Parts: sequence; structure tokens; C-alpha cells
Amino acid sequence: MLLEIENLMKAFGGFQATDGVSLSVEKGSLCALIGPNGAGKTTLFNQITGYLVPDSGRIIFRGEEVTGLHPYEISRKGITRAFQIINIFPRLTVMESVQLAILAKRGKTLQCFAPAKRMVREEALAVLGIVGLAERAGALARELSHGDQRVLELALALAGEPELLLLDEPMAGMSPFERVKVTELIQKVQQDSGLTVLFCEHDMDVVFGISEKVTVLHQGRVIAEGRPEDIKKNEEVHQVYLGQSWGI
Amino acid sequence: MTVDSRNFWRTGWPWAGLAVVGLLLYPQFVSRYYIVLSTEVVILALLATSYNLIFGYAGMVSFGHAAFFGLGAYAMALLTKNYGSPMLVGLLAAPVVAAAFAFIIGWFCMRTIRLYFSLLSLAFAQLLWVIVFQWYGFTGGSDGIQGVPRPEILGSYASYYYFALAATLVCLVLMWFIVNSPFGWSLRSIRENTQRSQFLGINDRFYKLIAFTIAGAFAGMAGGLYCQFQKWADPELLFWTTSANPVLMSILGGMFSFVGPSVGAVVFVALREIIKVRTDYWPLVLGAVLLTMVLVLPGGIVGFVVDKGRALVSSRNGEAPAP
Repeated sequence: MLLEIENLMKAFGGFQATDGVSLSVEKGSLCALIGPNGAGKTTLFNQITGYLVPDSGRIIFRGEEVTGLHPYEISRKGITRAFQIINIFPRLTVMESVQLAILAKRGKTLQCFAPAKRMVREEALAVLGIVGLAERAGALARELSHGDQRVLELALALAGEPELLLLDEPMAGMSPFERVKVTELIQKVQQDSGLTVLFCEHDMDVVFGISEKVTVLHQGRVIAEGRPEDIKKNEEVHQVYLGQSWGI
Repeated sequence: MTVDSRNFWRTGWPWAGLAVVGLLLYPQFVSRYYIVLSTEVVILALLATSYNLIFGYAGMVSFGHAAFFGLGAYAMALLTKNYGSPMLVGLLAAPVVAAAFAFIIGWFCMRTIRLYFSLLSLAFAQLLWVIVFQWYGFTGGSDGIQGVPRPEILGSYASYYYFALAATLVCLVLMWFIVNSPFGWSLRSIRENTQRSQFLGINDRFYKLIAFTIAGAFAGMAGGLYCQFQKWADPELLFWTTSANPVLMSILGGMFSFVGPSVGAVVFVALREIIKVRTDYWPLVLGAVLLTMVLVLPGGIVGFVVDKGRALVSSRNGEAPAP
């Protein structure tokens, strides 16, 4: 197992956001995390990436406990994430952003006198080529369209050469055309590089279309876990989340 | 113009070269008053640029930068006047002392962000000011240290101008390399989005502390030069009103540009001299000018020029100007 989560607990005041979540992600798989708003998906992501410290429980990555480490430490261990809200560097160019992500991954960001502009150019262009942003390399991140900003977000995560990529609602706010584009992109990257992906998403066509395993969260607990076709048939999942429209 | 020659002018290097030639020739044509004034501008440009490392590049609003300027000045004054060291020793000690204090103060200040950081930096600077102001036995208290000796070779106004100019240019080149390095880019990413930079694997607090220390070192250098320039060190150099100057210069000139703070230093001193002979209330007029600048030109003078230049180029190429 690449990632194992054991009995994770996190409360905000009286609200139990994560209530004993256990979860495992196999290396090279594409796993989905679903559940209604407020089920604790983003809170779980925040704990895996070190942005929140769990109250109790353990997070084990590649057999090594990473619970409670700082985000920058966890990122260096090989877990990167893309965000639900757009989280980029508005006044850096697309190229600069990706170069910086690669430099950070390689531990070169403390170099004070080397010209950053000329470093890791080819690698950055390769990442931009994969995601299809090469033509906008010179544009400022804030000048991109909403959809392209999400793609840049993904490029930043990929540039860190992660082993585990967490995607928090990668399709949020995208047009149907962009959804297809990004879905294909995620699948392609995962298949080409053997990357492990854990994502949460409200678009059930995407979830059931591409994932190998689906975990359902409700009120901070895992209520179901399994192959997409089994989850589709699960009675409880229908009651709390999928509703009638997804009839068996 | 051909594309090649246009690119050549756009790199900025030819402009920098022209500016340096201008700065070298300029004292041959003006009176002593202007040479003295330019020496001050050159040193303040160094101070403002050092401040902009943390202000413009890393997004940290420190209100205590004068502490490092003043510490550099006192290091120079104490070493050369009280201990008889050569000036060059003072000039090496000034940034080292300032950097050491910046590291310690920064270590505490990095625990806080935004307004709390600003206030804590101000509090530390004022604390140092009180110590310098009161410690008659060591720092000369409110009198400061008068009669700092300067080597004979730098005795004339013009020779000291050239010396300060050379030292400042060396420091500016070093800082230019720093802001364009992976470290400099990391600072910009922290300014733009601290959370995202953490998730890229950048330890933001540590990087900000290093930047704060480097900025302190260059401010200390400016302080050492300034002490030799006016031949004394006084507590005012550490006072909060002195801390305000590099903030104002950076905003005036343009905090998102490397040369912005230097341009700001020129305009700041020019405004001061022009207004001062007409009214005693020059800070009032300066305040009004600044207010207008911030409202009308949020990117400062350099930001304005760059934007206009870009719009001109893209309209020539038949593109719509960037928003």
C-alpha cells in the first residue's frame, strides 16, 4: 500500500469533521473519494497534506508515518495536491510557476546566485506540453482563463514529480468541454507515469467513469468502499448521497 | 527598429549601463551641493532596495528596517572612532552586525504574520533605539558619536560620492542576482500565495527569515556608508521615522520592480529638497504627493512606465493591451 490511514480523528470545537477514518490507497491506482458537502473530504485532504494536524490516528506513506508533519515536509516526501479553489501564483508567469515547482522538488530553491530563468526549462516545458499549456508559457497566471488556471494548478502538482497526487474537486467550475479535457488528462498522466491519484469530485460521471476504487464519506465516517459498480448498487450510499436519480 | 535591437533594449542592461555612465560623469558638471545630495540618494537607494527584498519580493511589511541601517552606522562609528579600526573593517562589520541582529529579531518576528509582523518589527526597532538613545557609556546616548574619521583619500565630496556609488552598485548587482535566483523566485511565490508555496515544498518561514537577514545585511551596509557620509552616528538613524523612508521610496518608485526603490529614492530626496526651501511643513506636502501616487499609480513610477511601455508595444504589434 502506498498510503494507509488508520482511525483518523479531527474535531473543530464540537464538530467531528473526521470521525475514525481508515483508508488505503494502492500504488498506481486511481481512487475517488465522494460524499455530500461537509462530509469531511477536504478536511481529510488537509490532514494528509499536513495543513491540519489530526487529533489522533495515523497517516502512513510508503511505510513511513507522516502524521503531523509540515506541508513542505510532506510535499518533499512525494505527496502533492491540487486545490478545490484556484490556488496559484497570480503575478508569476505560467513558465516561472512550473519551473519553481520543479526547483522546489529538487531542493534547489535555496540557491541564491544562479539565474532561475535558465534552470529546468526543458522539464518545465515538458510538463506544460503534457497538460497543453505550452502556448501560454509566457502569460501571467492571473491572465489565464478559469479553466486554464485549473490546468496550471494541476501542472504545478505534476511538476513536483509526486508519487501520490491528491486532487480536490478538479472539475469544479469547469465547462463540460473542459471537464472532458481534464478527465482525459488525469487518466493519461496516471496511465503514462504510473502515478497514484486520490481525488474527490461531485461529478459522478467522472467518478464512475475513471476510478478503480470509490470510498464514500458521510459525516466524517467511511460508509462504503469498493469497486465503482458495487458502490453504485449500495443502498446506504443512495440514501445519503447519490439519491434516486442514479437508480440501480 | 529590428526585432533584435528592440529585444536588446528590452533586457534592461543597456539602460543600466547608460545610468551608470551618467552617474559616473555627473559630478563633473554640478556644484558641491548636488554631489552631496547625490551621495545621500545613492546610499538611500541601497537602503530602499534592501528593504524591497522583503517588502516587494517577499511581501513582508516591516516597520523596523531603520534598526539595521542604524546598527550598521553605529558599528562603523564605534569601530573607526572608538577602536581605531580602518574604515574597510567598519564597512565589513556593518553588514555582519546588522545581519546578526536581523537574524535574531527575524527569528521572533517570523512567528507572526501581516500586521502583527509589522508591529513586532517596529517594536524591536524602537527597543534598539531606546537602548542606543540611553546608553551614554557605549553609544554616546542622545548625542550619538561625532567626528567619525574618514580616510584622507576619500576626503573630497566627489571621491566619497564615487566610493559610495561603487559600494552601492556592487550591492545592487548582488541583490539583482538574488532576486532572479531560485531563492528570489521562492520569495515571490511566498508573497503571491504562501499556502501554495508550502505545498510545493518551500519552508516559507525559513526562507523569509533568510530574506530578512539578507535585507538586514544590506541595510547595515547602507548604514555604514551613511555614517561615513555624515561623519557621525545618531540615534535618529534607528528611529521609526527613518524606517518609514524606505517604505515610502519603495511605494513611490514601484515595489514590484528591482529599480523602483532606487527611482523612489531619487524622487523622494528631490521632492524633499524642492519643498523644503519653500515651507517648513515639507512632510505634509510629501504626504499629499504620496497619497496621490498610491491612488493614481498603484504600481509606482516604474510600474506606470512599464505598463505604458507594454501597452505601446502591444498596440504596435496589433494586439490588445493587457488589462
